[in-house]
Amino acid sequence: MNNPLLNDTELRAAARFYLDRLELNPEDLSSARARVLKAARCLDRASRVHSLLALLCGENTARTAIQASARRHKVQLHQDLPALGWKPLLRDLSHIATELCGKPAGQLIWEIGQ
Amino acid sequence: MTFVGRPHIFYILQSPFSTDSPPATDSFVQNFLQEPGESSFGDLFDQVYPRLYRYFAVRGFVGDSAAQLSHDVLLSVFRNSSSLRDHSKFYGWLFQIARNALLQHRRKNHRLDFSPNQLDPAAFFTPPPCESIFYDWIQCLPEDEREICVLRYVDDLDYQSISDSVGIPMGTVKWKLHQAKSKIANLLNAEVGVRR
Repeated sequence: MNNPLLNDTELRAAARFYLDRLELNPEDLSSARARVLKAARCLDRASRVHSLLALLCGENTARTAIQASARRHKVQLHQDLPALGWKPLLRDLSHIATELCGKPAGQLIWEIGQ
Repeated sequence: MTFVGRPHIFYILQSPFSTDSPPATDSFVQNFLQEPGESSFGDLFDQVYPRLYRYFAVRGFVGDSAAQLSHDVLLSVFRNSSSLRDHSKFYGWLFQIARNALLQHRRKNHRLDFSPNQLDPAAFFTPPPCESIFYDWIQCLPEDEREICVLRYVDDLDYQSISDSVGIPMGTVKWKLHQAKSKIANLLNAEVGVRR
C-alpha cells in the first residue's frame, strides 16, 4: 500500500467531498427538530403518567390500561402520539384512574399528563 | 469503474477536514445521558441528527425516508437512554440502533425481493450527484469492507464504535479496514500503470 493518497486524513477528506452533496438544508433541519422534540415531549408525558398509574394501581394494571386506551384510539404509543394527540388518551387514563382509585387519583393523572 | 484524476486530488489536498472522531464523552452526550430532558435532548439533536441523516442518505435513503428513519432512531435513543450503562459507548450504540432501523426498514419494504446479503447496509450506497473519487474507490470493495470503510471515513466513527455498531471485534474492524485500503491502493496503482 504505497499510494500517498491513502492515509486516514485524506480518505476522510475524499469522503467529505462526497458528503457535502448530501447535507440537509436549514429549513428541513429546523422542522425535523420541532417534530422530534414534540414526539419526545409526548413520550415523556406518557412515561410520567405510566409511572404514576403504576404507583397507584400496580404495574400490570397501568400497562393494561395504557394499552387498552391506545387500542381504543387506534394509536401506536411510540409512533402516533405526536400526530394524533395525547389528550384523548390522557382523558381515558384519567377516567380509568378515577374508577379504580377515586377522583383525586384521576385528577392527579390528568394534571401530571399535561 | 472510473478513476477521477488530478482536479479532485487537488481538492483533497486543499479541503478543510476534521481528523478526529468526536470523543465518546462529548458534553452534550453526557448531559443528555445524565439528565435526559427536553433541553439536553435538543442539544443532542443538534449534534447527532445531521450525522444520522447522512448515515441513511449515504445508504440509499433520500429526503423523507432518511428524515423519518433519523427521527425514529432519535426517539429510540430518548426512550432507551437509561439502558446504556457505559456512556463511552454512546456512538457505537447509536449507530447500532441506526443499523437495526435500516435493516428493519429494508426487510419490511422489500420482504420478497431481497436476498439476505442484499440486506447489508452497505449494499446500496447512494451514488453522489457528481463525480466522487471516494464513491469510486469503495465500489471495488466487498460489502462488509465497504460498510466499515464508510463508517470510518464518512460517518467518522472510531474503531470501538464501529465494532459496537456492527457487532464484530475491534481487531477484525482494523483488519478489514487495512484490507480495504490495500485493495483501493492496488486499484489506484493499477490505474496509474494503465495510464503509463
